[in-house]
This record gives sequence, C-alpha cells and structure tokens, in this order.
Amino acid sequence: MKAKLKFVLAWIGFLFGILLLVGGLYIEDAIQWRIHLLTGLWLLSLLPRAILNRRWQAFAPTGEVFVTRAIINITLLMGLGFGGVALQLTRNQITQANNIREYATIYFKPNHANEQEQQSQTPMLRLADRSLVGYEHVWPLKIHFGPRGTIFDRNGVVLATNQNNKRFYPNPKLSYLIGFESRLYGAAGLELGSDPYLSGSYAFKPQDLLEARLFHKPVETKPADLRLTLDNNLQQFTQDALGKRAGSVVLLEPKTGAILAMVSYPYYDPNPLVLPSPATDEDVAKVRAAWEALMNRTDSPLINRATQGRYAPGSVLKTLTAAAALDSGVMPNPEGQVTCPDRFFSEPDQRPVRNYFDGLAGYTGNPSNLRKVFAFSCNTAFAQIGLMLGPARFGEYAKRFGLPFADEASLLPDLQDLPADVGTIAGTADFLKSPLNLAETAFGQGQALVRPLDMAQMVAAIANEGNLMRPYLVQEARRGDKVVYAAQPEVLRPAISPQAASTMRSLLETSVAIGWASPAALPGVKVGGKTGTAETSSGVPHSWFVGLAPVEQPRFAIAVIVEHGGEGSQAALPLARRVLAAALGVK
Amino acid sequence: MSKLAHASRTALNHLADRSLELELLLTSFLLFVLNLATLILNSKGNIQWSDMGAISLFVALFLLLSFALAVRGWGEDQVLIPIVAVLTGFGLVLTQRLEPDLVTRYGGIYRGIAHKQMWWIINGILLLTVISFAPWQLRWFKNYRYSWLVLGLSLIGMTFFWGSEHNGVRLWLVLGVFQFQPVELLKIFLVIYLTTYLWEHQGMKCQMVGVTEQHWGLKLPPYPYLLPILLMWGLTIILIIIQKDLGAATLFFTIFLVMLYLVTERISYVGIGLIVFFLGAYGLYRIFNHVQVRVDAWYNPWLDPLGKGYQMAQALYSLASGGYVGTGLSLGDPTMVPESHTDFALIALGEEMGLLGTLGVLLCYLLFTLRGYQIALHTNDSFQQLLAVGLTTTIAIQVLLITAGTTNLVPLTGITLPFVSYGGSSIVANFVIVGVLLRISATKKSNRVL
Repeated sequence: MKAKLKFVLAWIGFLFGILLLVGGLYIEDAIQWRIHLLTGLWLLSLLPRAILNRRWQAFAPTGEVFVTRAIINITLLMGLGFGGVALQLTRNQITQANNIREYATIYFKPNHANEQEQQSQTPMLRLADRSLVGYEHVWPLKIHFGPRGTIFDRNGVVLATNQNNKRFYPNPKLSYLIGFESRLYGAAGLELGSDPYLSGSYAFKPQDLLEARLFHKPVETKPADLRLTLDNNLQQFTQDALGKRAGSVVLLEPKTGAILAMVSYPYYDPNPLVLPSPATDEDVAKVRAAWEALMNRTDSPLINRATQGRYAPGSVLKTLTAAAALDSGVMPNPEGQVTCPDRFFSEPDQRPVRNYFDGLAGYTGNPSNLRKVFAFSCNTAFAQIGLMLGPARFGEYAKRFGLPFADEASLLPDLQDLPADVGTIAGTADFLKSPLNLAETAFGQGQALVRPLDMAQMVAAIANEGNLMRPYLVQEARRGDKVVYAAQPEVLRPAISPQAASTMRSLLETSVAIGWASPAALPGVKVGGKTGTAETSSGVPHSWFVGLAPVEQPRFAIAVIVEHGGEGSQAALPLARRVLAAALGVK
Repeated sequence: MSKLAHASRTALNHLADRSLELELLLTSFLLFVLNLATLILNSKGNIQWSDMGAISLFVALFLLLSFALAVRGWGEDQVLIPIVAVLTGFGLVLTQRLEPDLVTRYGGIYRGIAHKQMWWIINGILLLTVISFAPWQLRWFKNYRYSWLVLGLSLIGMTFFWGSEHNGVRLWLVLGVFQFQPVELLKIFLVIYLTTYLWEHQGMKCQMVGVTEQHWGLKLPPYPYLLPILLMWGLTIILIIIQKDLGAATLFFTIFLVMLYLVTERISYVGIGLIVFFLGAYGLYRIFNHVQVRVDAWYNPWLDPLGKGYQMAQALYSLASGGYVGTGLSLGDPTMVPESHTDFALIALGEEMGLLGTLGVLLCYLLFTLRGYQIALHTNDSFQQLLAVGLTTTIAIQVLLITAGTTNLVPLTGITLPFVSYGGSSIVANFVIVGVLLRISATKKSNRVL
C-alpha cells in the first residue's frame, strides 16, 4: 500500500516536473529559470528512482549490486545533466531567442560608418547582421499583400479607399476617426484599430504560415471591407454644427451601443501623410514635410477628443449621482425631500459648497425635492446626496457607469475599435473619503475626468433600462459576400435597475420641461437632458450637455462638450438640440 | 579441412559479427560528406574540394581500424567508434568553416587550423589503433599507480617552468611545431591513479557501511577516503592558483567525487566533497579576478555586455540567431564569439546548424556516455569496471561542463568540447580514452590483458 502511494507520488512529481520545465522555458528571468530547472529535474528523477528502488529490493545486498546500483545512479545523473543542457539550448535558441536578440540589438548595434570602413579594408570579412539571419533568413515568409479594404459608413458611403496607388480619404474631416495608413509613419485611428481586417492578416493561420515557410509559397492576404455604424449624413451635419470650436459630440444608439456620430475638432488632412506605392524620393520628402507640419501644430489634432479627451464633467455628473441615489435606495422617490441652501458645510471648518448663484432655492422651492434640484442643478443639494451615498457606494456606482479610480490595475477602455482612453472618477479611492471631496465630486467637481463618450454611455444606459452597452464603431467586416466579422451588441453590466432608469428619464425630462435645459425642447418629441458647466483654469468654462430622445422609447443618446463654450446652455445645448432634431427628423 | 580454410572461415564469421560498426561508420561518413558539400557550396570558392585531400585518409583509417578489429574478433563495442567518427567529422567541418573567418577577423595565427586538426585526428586514429592492438597487461596499471600520478604532475610542473604562455595562461608545452597541453594527459593519469587507489580500498566498503571515524572531534570519513578528498581538493586549488585553469580543476574534482561515490556509494562523502569545493571556490572568487569575471558573466552577461559579459553575451546572441535549423553552414557569423573554434564550438554549431544540430551533437555524447556505463556494467572485472566508469565520466563531465558553461547554465570553465573542439592534446587524449574503453569492452580477450 505504502509502495503504491510512493509510486503515485513519484508519477505526480514526474508530471509536475515536466510542467515546471516546459513552463520555465518561457520565463525570461534567468535565475528563476535555473531554479525551475533544478526543481524540475529533481522531480523528474523521482520516478526512475522509485522504479529502480523497487528493482534493487529484489536483489540480495551483495557487493556486486552495490556497484551496479551506483553506476545506474551515476548514469541517471548524467542523463539528467544532458537533459538540462538540452533544455537550456532550447531556451536560448527558441523560446527566449527573441528576448536575447532584443538585448543584443541594444548593445551590439553596428556602427554603420565603421562597418563600411572595415569592409573596404578587408573585403573578405562578412559582417552578417545577426538579426536578419537565422530562422527568418533560411525560411523567409513571403506575403502578397492584396489591396487594402475599403471603409464604408452604414449607408455605403466610402470613407477610405485606394486610389492612384495610394490610400485615399474622401472626407479629411474624419481624420480623428478613420486615421491613416501612412506606410512611412505607421497607422492611426480605425486604420490602426482594425488593421487585421483591412490588411487581411486576420485570416493567417499558423499552419498556413508554416506551409508557406516550408514550401516557399507566398501567403495571400484576404483584405476585408469594413462597414461602420456611423451615419455619414448625421456625422457631416454634426461636424458642421460644431464648426470651428474645439470640442466633441458623441451620438449613440442606446439599445445597441452603436456609434452613430462621433465628432471632434480640430482635425487634420490625412491624405498628404500617405506614401504612394511605389514611391519616389520626392514623395517621401512630401510626406515627411506634411508630417513635420502636423507635429508642429499646437492644437493637438491627432487626439480624438470623444475617446481620448478627458474633461472635468461639471453638472452633467449630477445625472450619475441622482441615478445612484435612486437605485441604491438612498432616495428611492424622485419627490423625496432635500434642501437647497446657499451654503453647505460638509465639514465644520472647511470651505462651504456654494451654488452657481445665491438664492437658487427661489427656483427649487424650500424644502425642495430630487426632481427639482436636478432640474435647477443645485450643488448644495447634490453635495448632501453625495454624503448620504457615502464614498464606497458612490465609487461603486461610478465604476458601474464606467468611471473607475485612476490607480486601478486594469484600465481597459470599453471601446475596442479605436485607440481610446478611460475616464476616471478620482485618482484614488481614498480621495473620496474626505467629506468635502465626496461632496464636490457628487456635483461634478473634484478629480473626476471624463470623456464625452463616457457621458454619452451614461445617458445611453439610462435610456436602455439601466444597461451599459459596449460602444462600437465597426458593424461588420466583409470579404465579397462573406461576412468575416459581425458586431454583436454587448451588455457590459447593468448600471442601475430598470425602475431607477425609468425614473431618471423622467428627471431628465423634467429638466427640459421646467429647468435650465428647457431650450432643448423639440416640437412633438419629448427630450430629456442635463446641462453642465465645468470650471477651467483659464476662466471661460467648458460647456457640457447630455441628453436622450424620445423619452418614452429613446433612439438617441447624446453628449456634447464645447471647450471654453461658457455655460452649458450657451454652446453645448443648442448644438445638441440641432443634432437631435436632425437625427429625429423634426424641424 | 585445411588450416588456412578454417582460419579464413573464422575471419569471415568475425567480419559478419562486426557489420553493425561498418554500417554506422558509413552513415556517419555520409553525414560528414553532406556537411562538407554544404560548406563548399556555401563558401563561394573560399573552400574547395581540393582542400579536402586528407578526408579520404580520415575515412580510410577509420575503415581500416574497424576492419582490423573485426578480423581479430575480440568483440569490442561497435557503437563507440562511429560516434567518435561523427563527432570528429563535425569538428573537422567546423574548423574548416571557421578558419577563413578567424584569419580575417583575428589574424594569420589561425591560418592552417583545419589542416592541423585533420593531422591530429589522423594521429588520434593511429593512436587508437596502437592502443587496440598493443599487449597491455592489467598489472601495469594496478602496480604502478604512483608512477602514473608523478608522471602527470611532473608534466604540469614542466609546464609551469618551461611552458609557453597564451591568453595570459601557462598551459602549453612546446614540442617542436606543436604545442601540447599536459593537463589533457593528466586527466587520464589521474583516472588511472584514482582507479587503482580506490580499487585497493574498495574491500573496506562492506565493513565500512555506516562507519565514520572521529577526527578532531568531528564525524568524518576514515582516512583512506578523507585523505584523497583533501589531496584532490588541494590539487584543484593549486591548479586554479598556479595555472588559472578553472576547467581542468573542476573536471578533476568532479571525476574524483563520482569515483568516490562509486566505490563507497555514500552520498555524504560527495556532500562533504562538494562543501569543501564550494568553500574553496568562494574563497577563490573573493581573491582572484579571473574567477570573478566568470561568475559575473554567468550571473547576468547583459550587465556588462561589452566587458566581462562580452563573450557570453555574444554566445547567447549567436545561439539565438540559430533558431530551429540554423543559418546554414558558413552563412552565419560565429567568429564574433571569441574562442568559437575551441571552447565555444557548440555555439558555432548552434548558430549555423540550429537547435537540431546542437541537440544532435548532445545526443551523440549522451549515447557515448550511456554506452560507456553499459560497458562498465557488463564487465566482470571490478578494476576494469571502475576504470571504465572513470573514463566515461571524464568525457561526460567535460561535455556537461563546457556545454552548460557556454550556454550560460553554470559559470563558464574553459575546457574543450571532446572530439569537436580544435586542439591537438584534447583530441589525442580523448582518443586514448576511447581506446581504453574499447579494450575494456572486448569480451573475448584473455583475463590478464586489458
């Protein structure tokens, strides 16, 4: 029984040893690997030793057997030694080869001037560049690149195509979205994010590549065309409406998360950045000049403000606080009582929270309720609601709406089709533990930095029964008639309950009906919205607006920011109204 | 039936008994010629078939030896010689391939190394033939153990006084045109000495199991085992201090520990040996710069890749460039690694023949080792058994030390890769070892001869 157990243990050790050794091959750290190797080889030796031990027990302990056993043990030891060296070779030549080459190229980078000099002195000398020889050198991979895929909007309007041996972008105003494929300076935007489909490399299978290497057969790429969720007409209209004001507009379809329009200003013309194929020196010089000019611009046109711009949210964040209060049960009823004083002290000896102007209670009534303080954007009321929620609960709701703390380990953007950043509610969770900071964050000040896309997602979730959807831009990738990729709407997480979402919609509606957002009203359609004014260091605040329409069955969710546009109702609100009117088809 | 007819019939039977060796030899020549052809095709005229005149001699001598052994019919092992043929073949191809690059990169002193290597290998085969047919008596070994030791040590002493210096290390004795490394011969003498010594004291083992003696209030092995441990340790340290020869020192000590284990089968003695070894090594590390350099380069060559770690970093780069199948012979740049033709021969193979090449060579050594131990197991005479283990261990440890050292698994101790590295003394010494192993493996010899 005991012997059997020993055998089972030896087998387990043996298998575990193999696991350790194979795993160790992929560990970059040499010391860790040596520890793996020693332990692994020892574990491997357990099984043969167990087998041998059982055999020896059959023999009488004569001198003869002693020597035999010693020789066998030595043989085993040598065998393990050879195994260790073989593994080390495998590691050096295969699994860690790329790391070693990277190190080597850092330290042994050939000095080209010297190399030429040496070669002229001793023509016999072959100075092989090691990074070019080896595996890739013997069995190179040939790839025949087909023409890059075309990008269409949802109605088939061409947004990027190939023309005269080069990539062509008919509408330069979409640069921040479509990006470019320069051939000299890499790629950006959707050209970068969806490159596997556009270039056709998505279809490469390992066995095809191996076959291609072995038989020197070129690999054919299978570029696919992209169809976006973008509506080019709406996009154009929105772009023109924003005009030459720095800012951004995001229009989402709440049920799916599809991006219908995503506008940012300023933009740049990507066409001069594209190198034709084949290219002359003159072409290269031109592209270089265009790139230099773009790099010298001070208005950062390469940033897509919708996905990469991080702004203080101002009062639009009250939407989040209100939703949290309704959903968590802190204020389950929109008519729940709350006051709107001119001053509110979160802590006795700290500075007080104030409203945009004194005497706001004249609009909200005193005591007031959640519906009214939301409509008239009362800071002191939301400061109280924030404190009622407490730091843990408030942070939790912010996270549900896609605004984590900046120090959290994995900050992956929800949007995967484009280069994107992540909005954050505060630097650390500890920040919210101070009552003043929590109070200020609850009405939109503090450390919160949000992207226009975040705010659009927030209202879209309220419009979509509380479910936060993953935003997406690529509807499908198609090769001829074959669909090679089709986007599936994906619920990231329920942010609030459907009841709370429904109440929130009525709050947003009230804000348009009686509150500061009333200029957003459209004839024949019920619109919900919330304005925001985010203070900036330069004095003129950023102008925010978030909204949804129609309130009963929302088809559109919108977020608008106009940098230094003044109050929310001054710049962002009229812009959002125009875009919603165009989208809904009302005058 | 006439006497002549009977003799020819037995000879024919003997020939049939030794057909395996012939088949394996022919296969190894095929590999050798294939490698040469690749080399000549790739070298674009730098190397030509006419440069390879001595190849036919190499092939013919191996075949003749095999034929002669077959006719005598003592039934020696049939795998060792083909393995040696494969490995020396690799060595020949390698020196032939590296010579032009070494000459252009490091100067004219490397001119002609391929021919020298060929000359040494041919000498080695001749020596192997002599050893195989000389009438060795077992008592020559058993009765004159101190003469062997003194001979070996005096060679070292001679080097110390009259040796020539190379790379700041005094390891060579000049014999006419050729330089000779006495350490290579010392390793054989040492194995013979250890075998006789330990064989004589082996009788004690049965009474000794579980016995320790008290020396200076410590529980230690009895004097017959303790003294050699200390003596070997001292010899090792002296070799390192005087000759700066880390490789030989480590090799000797390891061989000694293995043989000690063989006769006593006590891990604790090996443990004690290892402890004193590491203590000594640590002391030397603190004192001597050349030990520090090796250890630092092993620990992380990339900390000082242009200084201490240069050789190791270049070796790693070279290996990494090889990948699965290598760059192809003479298409890489292995001479970037200093000493690519001697200590770093495996690395040069690794760059141009890839993982397949290095694992193949390693497999040859593994087979050699297994075969050596198998010979030891099948021998009835306990003296010859010890000797076979000692000699096989010499080759195996040497391979492990240098392959593990050049691949950055353990600190590098300079030592040759048996049969492959360039170097006459090493080639000759290793052929002697093969010769003795073959003699031990002969099953149909008289009991008194070796």
